[in-house]
Amino acid sequence: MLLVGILLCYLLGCSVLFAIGKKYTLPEIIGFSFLIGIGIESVFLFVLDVVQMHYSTTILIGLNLLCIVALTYKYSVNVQYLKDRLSAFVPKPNTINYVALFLFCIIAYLFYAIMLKNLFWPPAEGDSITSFDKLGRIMAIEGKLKISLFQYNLQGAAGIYPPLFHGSFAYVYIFGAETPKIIITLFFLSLLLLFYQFVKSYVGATAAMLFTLILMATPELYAHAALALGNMPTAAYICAGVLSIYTWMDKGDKKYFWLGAIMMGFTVWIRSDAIAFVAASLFIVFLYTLKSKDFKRLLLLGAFTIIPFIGWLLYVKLKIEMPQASRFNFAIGYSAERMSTMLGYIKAYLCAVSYREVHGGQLFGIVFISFFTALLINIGLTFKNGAKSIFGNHSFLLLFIAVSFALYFTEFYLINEDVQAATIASLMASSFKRGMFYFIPLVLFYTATCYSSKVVFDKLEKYRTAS
Amino acid sequence: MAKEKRHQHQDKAQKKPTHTFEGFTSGSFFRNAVIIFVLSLVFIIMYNLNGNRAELPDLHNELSDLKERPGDHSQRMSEIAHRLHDIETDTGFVKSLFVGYFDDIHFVAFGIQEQLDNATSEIKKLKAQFGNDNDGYITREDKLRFKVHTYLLMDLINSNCPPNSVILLPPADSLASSSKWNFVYDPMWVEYFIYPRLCIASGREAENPELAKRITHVLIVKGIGYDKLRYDVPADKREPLCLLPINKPKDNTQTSN
Repeated sequence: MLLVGILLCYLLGCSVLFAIGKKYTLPEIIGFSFLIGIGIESVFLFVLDVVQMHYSTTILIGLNLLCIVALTYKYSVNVQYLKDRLSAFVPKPNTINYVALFLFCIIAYLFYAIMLKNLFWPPAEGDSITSFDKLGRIMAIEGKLKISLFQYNLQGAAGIYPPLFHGSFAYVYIFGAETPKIIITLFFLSLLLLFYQFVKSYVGATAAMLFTLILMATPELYAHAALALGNMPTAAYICAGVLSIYTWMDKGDKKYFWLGAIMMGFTVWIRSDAIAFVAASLFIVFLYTLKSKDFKRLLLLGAFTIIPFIGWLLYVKLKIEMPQASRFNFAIGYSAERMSTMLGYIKAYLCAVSYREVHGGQLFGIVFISFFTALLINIGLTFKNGAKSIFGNHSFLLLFIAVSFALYFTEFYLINEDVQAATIASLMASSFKRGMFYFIPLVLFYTATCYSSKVVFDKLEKYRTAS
Repeated sequence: MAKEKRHQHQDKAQKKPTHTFEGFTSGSFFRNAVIIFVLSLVFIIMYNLNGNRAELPDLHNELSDLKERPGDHSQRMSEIAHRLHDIETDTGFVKSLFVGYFDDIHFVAFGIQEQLDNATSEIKKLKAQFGNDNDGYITREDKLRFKVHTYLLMDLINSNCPPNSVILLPPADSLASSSKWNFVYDPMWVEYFIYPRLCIASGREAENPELAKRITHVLIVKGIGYDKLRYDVPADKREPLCLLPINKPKDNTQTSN
């Protein structure tokens, strides 16, 4: 039964994907299908709760089939195209990129190992036991989103989080899963496939495989591929959303705009604090539309992202009725001590050095160091070639990274320690550390596709193919 | 005209972006092999930069064995402590960049099968200890029992309380200092294991007065919690670890430890 649930989730995502566009690569089909599919499943669970219908496999299968049939009937999934894509996936011997194949084998082995670990152990992390998995399991048992534990304030901190992540757990529990961790593996797979595809579309398969390996092996991220926590799945949505929007801005392919808007919508549907990334994406698209004068796109993106955010806030206020002390302390002013603590941690993460109990190098390896190195090299190259030819549309991506980082930093700076029941140091050492995942695919994408890397990888490819 | 078009088409094909490399020739197989060789070499060097970390688990295991073994092992323990210190402080900037990758590869990719095999055999031993290893199948509960040290207390609650029970947990301040009792005082944590039973933290009854009124059982840990019972238990009959009904039972069947 679990297999049916997962298959339906993929088919639903796939039918939405082909309603948006007609041509995708295989990694895009697999990666986007899951992210869209599981996002919509969580919307189903939310809507069923609002209309007070208890969850059951029958209802979910019915809803899924209805949507899949309606979408495929209206937009007719191009089956022949899918077949062509699948056959194109099997390369001819004389076109095999052996270097990429070698890197793929390492990726596949690392993926297999972490999947084994993930699927063997049931969730045992504190946040998962006190919140995510508890909410998911009991949602499946009680058949509603607002479970009985809300009445006694026993739902855990994630009770007020938007429902995508624990809803995805509930979804697999409803279909008979013993533990929900298959979801984590599928999120990780989507993250890797989509990152690979976006990088490949700019610099080819060799560089894409190399950077996908670097992304996957990032120590802290790799560890999270076996933990039932929501940061890595959020990183998957942010990666897919931001890189889709970037691809739309860079190549003008409108299907990526729609995919970006859907992914950014699900970004705030999985974690409200990811609103920083939505705000940054709106800002960047606003700057872009100043040039293109296509303000309709800005409004559409705004609608896709603000509706789920407001919808969930209203649900928490009206249905859950939880008395909420503000998580933010806007009267904090400038606190030198807090700023110094936060900057200490940020320096550790970005510069791969140690601060108190954390060591950025051990957590994120070469990710940020290679990003800053690439950035400095490209800044240096602007003196020779001019900023426009070196940075081009990458300036939008870099601006996005800078703005979202500043907003994310501000969110943490304003956190009310009393309401959060944690010191800023412990928040920086845990929550902010895991929040760094959201930036990893973006900075690695830049590192892989920037001007200097393109030059290097073009030379490598010329050598490799003896052309 | 047709020729011109064909030429234009050929020109376009030649001007394809440099990152799409088709027309791969067999002669370039050697070049692919060279790149793979260089990459392998880089990976091996990166891996070996922190190769001494492979000793860490054995050293930690030996140290904890020696601590529990009778006799004087101070010399060996001191040697191990020094070796551990040497390895853990051997962290130059470049080395530290690759520590995490080493752990990914050595302990997860290469070590996972062995770790899971060991865990499986330990879980089976635990099942046998409790006399329920007949089916040979390992469930989620078996794994949790192995992984979560206080899961036995959760078993105690689940097997001795009806589903509508409300459990008063021991106070945090008396247990938080010892990791042995991690989280058995936290209602958010305990609730995961005992649902649909409910629980409430000791000393925080005022936060949830409705639930406080419905308490049916008290979880006694380290002998703490007898003062919460509405009857007296003689000192010589007080168990350090047990679950007792808050009101005096009519018979002794509800008392569990």
